[in-house]
Amino acid sequence: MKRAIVIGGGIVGLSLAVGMARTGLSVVILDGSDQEPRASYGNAGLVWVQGKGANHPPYAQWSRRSASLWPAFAADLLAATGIDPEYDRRGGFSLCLSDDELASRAKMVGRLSGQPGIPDDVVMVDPAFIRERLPKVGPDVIGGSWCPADGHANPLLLTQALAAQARGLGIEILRDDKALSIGMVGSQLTVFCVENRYPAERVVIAAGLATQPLAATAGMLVPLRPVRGQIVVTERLPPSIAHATPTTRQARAGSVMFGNSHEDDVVTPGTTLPILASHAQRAIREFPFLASARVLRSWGAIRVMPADGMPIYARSESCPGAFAVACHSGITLAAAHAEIVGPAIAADALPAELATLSSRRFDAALAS
Amino acid sequence: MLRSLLDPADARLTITVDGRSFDAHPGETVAACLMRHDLVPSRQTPTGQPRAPYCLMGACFECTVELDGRTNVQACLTPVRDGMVICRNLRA
Amino acid sequence: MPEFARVDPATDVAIIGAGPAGMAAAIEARRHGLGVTVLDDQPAIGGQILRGISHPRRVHYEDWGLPLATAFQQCGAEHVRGASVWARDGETLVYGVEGQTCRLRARAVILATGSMERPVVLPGHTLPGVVTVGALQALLKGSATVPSGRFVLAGNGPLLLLTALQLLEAGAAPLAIVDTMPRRRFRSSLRHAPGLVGDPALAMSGIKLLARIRAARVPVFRHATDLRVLGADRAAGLAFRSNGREHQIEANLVALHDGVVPNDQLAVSFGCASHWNAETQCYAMTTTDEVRASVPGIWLAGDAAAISGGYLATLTGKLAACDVAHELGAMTAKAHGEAVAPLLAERHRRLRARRFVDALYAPTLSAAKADGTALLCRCEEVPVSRIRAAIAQGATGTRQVKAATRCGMGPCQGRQCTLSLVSVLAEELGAAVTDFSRPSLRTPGRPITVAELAASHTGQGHTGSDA
Repeated sequence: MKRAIVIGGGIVGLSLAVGMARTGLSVVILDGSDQEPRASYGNAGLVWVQGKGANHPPYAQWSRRSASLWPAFAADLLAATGIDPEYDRRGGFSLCLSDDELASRAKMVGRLSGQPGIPDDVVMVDPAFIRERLPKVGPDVIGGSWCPADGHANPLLLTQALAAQARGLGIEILRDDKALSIGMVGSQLTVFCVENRYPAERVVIAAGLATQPLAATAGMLVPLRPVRGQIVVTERLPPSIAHATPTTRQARAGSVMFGNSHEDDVVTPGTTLPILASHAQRAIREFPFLASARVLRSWGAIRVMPADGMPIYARSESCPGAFAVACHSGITLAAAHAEIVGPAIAADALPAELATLSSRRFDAALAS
Repeated sequence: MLRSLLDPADARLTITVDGRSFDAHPGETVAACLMRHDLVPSRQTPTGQPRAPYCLMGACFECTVELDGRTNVQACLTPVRDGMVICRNLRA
Repeated sequence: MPEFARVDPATDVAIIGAGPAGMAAAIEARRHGLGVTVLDDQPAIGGQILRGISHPRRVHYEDWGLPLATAFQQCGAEHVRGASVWARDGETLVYGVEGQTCRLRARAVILATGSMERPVVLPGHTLPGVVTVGALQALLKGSATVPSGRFVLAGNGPLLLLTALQLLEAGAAPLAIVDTMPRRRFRSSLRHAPGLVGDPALAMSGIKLLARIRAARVPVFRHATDLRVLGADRAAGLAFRSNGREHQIEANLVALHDGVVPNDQLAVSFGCASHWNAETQCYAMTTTDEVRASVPGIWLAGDAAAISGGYLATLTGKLAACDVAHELGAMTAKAHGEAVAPLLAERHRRLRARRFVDALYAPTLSAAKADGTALLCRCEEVPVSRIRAAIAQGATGTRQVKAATRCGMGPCQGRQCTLSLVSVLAEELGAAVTDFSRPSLRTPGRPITVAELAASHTGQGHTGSDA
């Protein structure tokens, strides 16, 4: 059996590993410890399409493609593992609280509409439309955008389910060795770790922010930067918010997560009171009933942001069989990674539809 | 389950719990008063299990009640005041 | 729009907690002319051990208690009762009083948040009618309230014995003491007995306590194991094994105890480092001898840092205040050195005596051995069996178990389950507790409403964009 090594056991790595193992490859995941920073534990859990790729239709299509695979992907995970990733696809809103927000949202929706190959279902909606679906919004909500394809999942359970599925497929997860570089020993593709070296037919680097330096050892350009996102979590509340927004979602357990912040180039996890307070102020304007809900915790996690915001798929020239994948929206793209990219990498190729999302775009940027 | 060591004549405050009136001693905490009148459970978990004051020092969050309109007030950290209105919000 | 926080006048030292450590620190800091504000979440001064000392009713306190409380009340420190501190924003503490959010700027912070009882995990322990032994003591001292019906005390630790005696003196006799100290524990602790010369008073008070309990003829069941609370909707009794026999005691109040541990959540949420202390089987905050925490501007006094009892808490409170006074320029290096040396020496001597107590009363009701049906996480109602299952399914650390089970995600923010969780992980994986990271806790250091969070800062406006 051909052996594949996936470096990184977060949602991106697990999704790809599962997709590769299904084709018959023997897959080993090199993962870090429980303590290491993990974007898989520190994200909003949105399976989201509205607004994605507004300036780059292939990215919009790719997000759509994955979102459309999500229902079957989630059902498969539940059937295979008994763990429900709690995917809900009831459509999502982006709520606007000022004329400025409304105007910039309308502009974004305008850019998306009429793009080839993308359904024309992202629309601006009035407060009455919103109130009908989100009866608890406050009077400050003066409009917003709506897309029926948007949804959300529980990232913690998704991670658990993918890990369980990986184990079910015979994927081994090693935690006590750390990958340092990728290279060739003669004609043998090899992962060099602190303790051991691992020969493999395929290697995929899906190690979050560590992808950039690791990919560089195999000649792949994957420019990334850290972004910190802070989120506030409430106690469990009765079902009150049926549709997610980029700032607020209610998990099935009842807890409401709110806040959407992007602090560029912050590398330390943690929260700051000004941002948490801003989150709370906005949450109360969007959903006034939240004012009396208890806040139980908050977190600020370091996430991965590609240089141009769009996912990067790389194939090494110098180390045939080595690939790298990095993206900001690992949840949204999990279905496509498991169903499309994993099998493609197993067959030693990247899907043709990802041509413009390949790392080559940065070569071009360098050359020009 | 509890009794006060103080003179019953000194229980000159009145609090309202779920619409009924109960006497209270100045200085006792809401949690002590609830337990003294056997008003347990004082809350239910999200799955409906009964809970009552447990640690009485603010660390377990079992004794939370709705107090004068504020939700999730820790009864063990709150001294009684005359006229306080408490809801246990128990579901049948 | 939300109301913004009340801004208190800035102070030199903010002390969190008005127990022995906090009061001693306040008195000392005032002696050096520093402005002091004491924020305490309890309704009155005293903390746990001196609870009710400002209006003592039928309870004996240790000799140093009343002079300390009196000196505190006269020292000129500002005391804010009912103040729940939940964040530190730069040099500013954020706290709530009855829903009002307040901000207090202080040049130094002394955390003196005391201890809490070690969480106990056994079947039925969440039923109404089950309380901690410390709860009975708090009810007695704070609210002059005692058990009225059949009640039993179960577990292990000096506080259990002391509370039994205090209840007896108040006219409330327990049906029995169900003592969970294992066989041979006394003998194995004796190797630390020589240290008791460092604190003869501690040894004497223990001996007296045991003698008085014996004289009161309360039935004691020794070496009890397999404890479980009986009852469906509320406690109906306690079942256990003792000396090879199964016992059941009918009771409408069951009080449990397994020692005390630092009440350190606020310090952890402020980013202060802690480490595992194998002797006491709990975390201890990492400090210098002068009780400085790992975070600049924060000192940790008393049991909040490591359990050492009320009297030693007054010493570390003084140590903290002297160090703060020196740091803030209110005390010369020479004066500081002269003040601190005897405090450190006395502390060192008395800590040696603690070792025997720590060994004798090491925990006995560890979740690691608990029945699978017992709830390990009270808030999210997670039984021990589900934690074990998550570990069997591949969870290798606290974060993974939390993610799989929601353990620790409820209102107590892990206060009642963290120690149990790490002990089960260590047991199931055959590892040391130090192999697991302590679950992190950030803002808020205690639950607050969204409105309180909104009011805590003017904010930075919306920073969001699409996901």
